[in-house]
Amino acid sequence: MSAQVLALRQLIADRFPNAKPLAERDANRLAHAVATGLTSLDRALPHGGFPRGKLTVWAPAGGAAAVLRSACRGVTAGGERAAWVDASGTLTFGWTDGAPLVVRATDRTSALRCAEVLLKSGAFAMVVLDGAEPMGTETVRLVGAVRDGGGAFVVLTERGSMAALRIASSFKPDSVRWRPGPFGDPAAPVDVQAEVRVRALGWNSRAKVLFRVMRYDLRDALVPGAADRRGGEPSGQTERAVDTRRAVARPADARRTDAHTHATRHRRPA
Amino acid sequence: MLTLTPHVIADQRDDGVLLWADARGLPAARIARTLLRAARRAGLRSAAVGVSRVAIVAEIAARTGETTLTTVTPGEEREFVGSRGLALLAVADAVTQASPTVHARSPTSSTVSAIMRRVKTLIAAFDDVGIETCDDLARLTREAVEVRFGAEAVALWRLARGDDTRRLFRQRTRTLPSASLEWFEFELRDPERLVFVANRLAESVCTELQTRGETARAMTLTFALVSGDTVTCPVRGARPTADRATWLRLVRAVFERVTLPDAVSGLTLAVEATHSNDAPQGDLFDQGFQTGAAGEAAVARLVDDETGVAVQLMTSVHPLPERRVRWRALETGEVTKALRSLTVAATPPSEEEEQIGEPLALRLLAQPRRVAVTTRRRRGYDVPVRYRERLSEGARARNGMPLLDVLTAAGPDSMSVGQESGAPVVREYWQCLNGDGQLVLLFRNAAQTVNDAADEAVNATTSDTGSNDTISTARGRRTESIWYLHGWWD
Repeated sequence: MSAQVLALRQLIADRFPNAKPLAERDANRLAHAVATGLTSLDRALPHGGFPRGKLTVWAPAGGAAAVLRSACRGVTAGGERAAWVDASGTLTFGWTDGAPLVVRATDRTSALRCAEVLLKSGAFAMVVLDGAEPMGTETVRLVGAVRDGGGAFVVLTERGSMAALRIASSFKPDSVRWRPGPFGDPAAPVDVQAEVRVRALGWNSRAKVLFRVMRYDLRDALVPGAADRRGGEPSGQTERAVDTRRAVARPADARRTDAHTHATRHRRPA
Repeated sequence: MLTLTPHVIADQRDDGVLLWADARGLPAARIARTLLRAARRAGLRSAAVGVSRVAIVAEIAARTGETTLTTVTPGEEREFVGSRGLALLAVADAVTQASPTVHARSPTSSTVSAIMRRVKTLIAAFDDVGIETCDDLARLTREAVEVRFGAEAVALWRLARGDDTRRLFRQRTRTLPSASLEWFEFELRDPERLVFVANRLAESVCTELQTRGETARAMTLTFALVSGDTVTCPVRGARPTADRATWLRLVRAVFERVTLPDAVSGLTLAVEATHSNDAPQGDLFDQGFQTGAAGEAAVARLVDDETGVAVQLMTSVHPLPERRVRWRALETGEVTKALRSLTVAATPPSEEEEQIGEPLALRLLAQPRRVAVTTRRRRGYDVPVRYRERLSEGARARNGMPLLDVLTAAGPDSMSVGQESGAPVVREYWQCLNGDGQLVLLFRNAAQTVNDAADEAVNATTSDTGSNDTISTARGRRTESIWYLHGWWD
């Protein structure tokens, strides 16, 4: 190695003391699992997250999508990439910020192909396959691709063959916390606790995770900052969506109607 | 001299060599001085340089300038040539290009000779009537010159006014990379052999593209058939690239689609248009820079293979949830931007975020799934108490439980839209917690009754009076409405 290269390295090390060579840093990064972003769940997972270069299956229920979305955003926040291959066609709300990269496939075979190509590229630290279940040799191909690419691969499926890590989660019905309505009846769920079971070779653990429930209110515009068409507060304000009766009680002149749809909605206490 | 200016043209004249140097967009005076020094170093002691925006003026300046370097200020061309004699305008190239009787871009030598003879005659005729200098000729009107001396005189009149429209430095048209192979001793019907040929052609074309530092997004693959016909197939990629493997994959896709009427005797692969090789500047400390190209290539491959497309969620304010959101396919540039703009979050997640994380989001079915719902009457509304998905024949319910109890139902959220368009939609949404602990979104379509629907098979409703649920099937009976499962929280 020439003296100039050594001098340059020394200069960079002096200028950026926390910087590490890419090769060293990548080796360090690949040795770590992809964390979910939830402390309680990470403790239950072997190596503290989804293993890289291996297949993980998660039964599609009990907050699986929320945890995986959290993990994908953690990956993006760490300067890596995450992709979500969607063959279910059910992703709608909560995906407006562009992270992770959503790839839509038309059918099951296409979704499997998408996952394989993305995994093999090695450019994605995490790939989630949603709505398509690999079977038989398809699973073998995907396992080979994830091993080649070195990213974490999570499939939302009930079938766990060839998976290095199997996760199942379910909500406890009695753990749902409801916001009471004006007559004391449940008006909207606030949060719910899920029990997550993690199984791997020589590993069996459980964790309890608390999930908030994203506000559901058809009267709110989804566009951040846009106001309720009936004159309510912008949808970005959380408190407004809670007590929907207040919006109903607004004076008529404060309401606004949509010229295109003339939609009228109201909510009566249950 | 080509190290000083991008274009140099040598023009052999009777009295020596005229060199044209292109200084457009460059510091002309400095280049002229440098060229003059270079010429003198080469032994050309009598060399002189004229600098002007107009070719004929620059030539006259070089020939008649009082110093070895004469610069004509832009806008003063006519004044500069005004006092010069008309004989200086007898430049074959300039007159030929300005002559209205010459339409060919490259006139023949006989045509040029004829024009020059005519020019010399004209100059003598001008001299006979007292027009000796360029200024004398330029003061006349075009019509007067044309009527009295003919069309060739107009060319001289233009040059005398410092108007020379010659394009000395024509832009060279480069041929786009292409490769072809023909064979006559045999004919090919085997696609694999054709792919073998196409592989070599793609390698040749891509190598030439890489040599030029360019990429291509579209090519044409032309099959020469034994019958003499040709079949041309466009080959397009999702993004401009010069990668041989990518183009070979695209060509293979063409082979899988195309149907040829006859055996093939030749193959041509030609680039339709080239793009500059867009290589973004990388950051030494950007983790994503190393793998950005690989990510782009992977997404582009999905688009090429038509297996998947990167999308982005677009929202509107439509009242119907299924029409409120729309997925828009990302353009190649947007994918590139998304994949390359990786930034490490400045602030670590808070303690609360590490405990709770992402909220459960509503996942909507594109087509609401019809369910059989048992209801009971409460405060004037039909409240769901249990439901069952309408399963197709042979399908079994999940967990083996055909019926799911609704433990808690919050609602209804009523909506009524589409009245003005003649397609009314009246729904009552219920946010329910079922016995599996799943939060689901059910709605009752109040504008549609079971009798309206084509399929009346299995819908159950209940008229609940107190604690005794009375379930009655809808077969053959008119009922109030139909229930659907629209989504769930996950």
